[in-house]
Amino acid sequence: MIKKISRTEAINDRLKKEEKVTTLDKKEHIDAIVLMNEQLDAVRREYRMKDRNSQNTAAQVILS
Amino acid sequence: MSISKYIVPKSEACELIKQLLFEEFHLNDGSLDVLYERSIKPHFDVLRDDIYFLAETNYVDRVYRDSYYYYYSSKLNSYKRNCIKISIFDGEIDDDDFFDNVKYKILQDRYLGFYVLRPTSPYIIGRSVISPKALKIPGMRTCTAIFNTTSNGLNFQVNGFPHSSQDTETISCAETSLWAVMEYFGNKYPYYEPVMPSEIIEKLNDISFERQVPSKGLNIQQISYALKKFGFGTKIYSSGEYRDEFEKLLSCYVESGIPLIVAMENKTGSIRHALLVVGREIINADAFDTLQPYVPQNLFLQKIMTTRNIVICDHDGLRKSFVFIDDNRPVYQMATLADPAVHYGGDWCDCRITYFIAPLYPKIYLEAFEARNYVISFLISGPQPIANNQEIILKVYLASSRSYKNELATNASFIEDLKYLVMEAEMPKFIWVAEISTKELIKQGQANGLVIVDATEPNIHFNKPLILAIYEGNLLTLDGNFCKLQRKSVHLPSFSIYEHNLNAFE
Repeated sequence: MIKKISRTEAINDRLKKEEKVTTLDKKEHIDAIVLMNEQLDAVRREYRMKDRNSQNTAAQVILS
Repeated sequence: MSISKYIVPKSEACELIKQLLFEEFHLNDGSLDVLYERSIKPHFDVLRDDIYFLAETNYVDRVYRDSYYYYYSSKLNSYKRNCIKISIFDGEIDDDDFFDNVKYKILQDRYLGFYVLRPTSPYIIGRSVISPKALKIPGMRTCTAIFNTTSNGLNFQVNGFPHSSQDTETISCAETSLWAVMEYFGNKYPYYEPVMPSEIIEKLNDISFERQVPSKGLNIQQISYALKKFGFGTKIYSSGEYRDEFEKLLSCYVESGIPLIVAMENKTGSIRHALLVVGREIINADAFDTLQPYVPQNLFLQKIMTTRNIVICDHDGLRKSFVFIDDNRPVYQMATLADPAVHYGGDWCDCRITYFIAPLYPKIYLEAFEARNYVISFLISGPQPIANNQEIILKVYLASSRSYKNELATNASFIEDLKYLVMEAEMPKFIWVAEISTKELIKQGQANGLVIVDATEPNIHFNKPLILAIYEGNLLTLDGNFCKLQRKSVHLPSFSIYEHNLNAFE
């Protein structure tokens, strides 16, 4: 008989049995994730501006 | 027409080279001293004194031959087609050693690279690959690839980074940097191919409004465009835009084992030069005591870090020398980012790095600025933030998931259960890895936390790029079915950090 080997499944099953697995879906977790999303969005806007300006100014610099 | 060969110790290299330049390239007897002193001697001066040279005449160098047929042969002045190849060996060699099987195997271990001398006076030094082991003072971690070559008709291999001086007509510093990047990637990974100078010129024809030869250099956008055409997903970073983050981003890519093309300019703009950064000095453990706390530009993160008394020291903020490949200088020049032209003098001394181009694998969609910010945000403000009142050292770098897993599998210091979880985790070709450490642990080359992020996932909402994170007794992963974050209580003892991106030469 062909035997499937997945150490991950075995470890996860063991951790579940030992009640060592928690899902982070309480309100405080979701709030933290949503706030993190907003902050990451702000950084992304900043990044896009830096990225665009880097490209534009790069056209003026001739290296020889 | 036969190939002549000569074997001399380094101490007699000057006499030999002058003789060869006179006999093979028919260079004027009166100019040989100046030519050797200015163009060739500096390259040999950085080599160990016990090096032996094997010179061969009538060498067909593919890079010079390309320039020759594309450009030099169309001139009235007659240029030679052939080059001189100088192979270098660790210690004394004898011609008979090459034809004795046992001694040949020993010679292979002692082979340290080659220089090609081309008949384009005064820009004589052509293609070279020199092992950092040949240097008087190596002390570096750097990108290297294995190059197959020949010496005295036999096959040899050298582990190094390609270098060439510019000939100023078919290749200026910009084209030379492009060539070196492609030569490195083309020899290291089957996905890329080395390119010849004429291919670089041809690729840029569509976006050039003037003739391409004689070369007047390239602008940074043209360099980036050429790299894109050669198969990279390039990114351009400007010091004026990224300010305090600029040097950290450059360091982050270097730690990722990615050679960067950098632009160096002086204040008046009279000097604008392209060169490569390919590695850095070996860091002394005491240097970590000088690491300054990282202040994120994001005010929200700054506030949380202050309130909760968390100090993050950014490994990329460490003051260190980098390894430069500069076509005006001998290979592997060490300099800091604050003073990159320290070896020049004159008008060059106020030069600064103003841009760098990162030649990324095209499917790395999450670049360094956002990846670093994501990791820091996750650790500081995520659903399972790190504990209050502590100082951590964070090192963020790109790695190939294959190399990372391979190193992890053989890392005896990594706890078994977690090793299996990481090894069996589904990963893209490239991952961002953040190693969390303390000043005491990092001095011993150890870390005690890890965040692995998907480099193909630019959608940073709801922790989508997170593959796994392990720190402070918790393993965090996304539940496969519902994309919910799961926390598993698992203790991770300290483990050896990953240092496979750069090769050490001590």
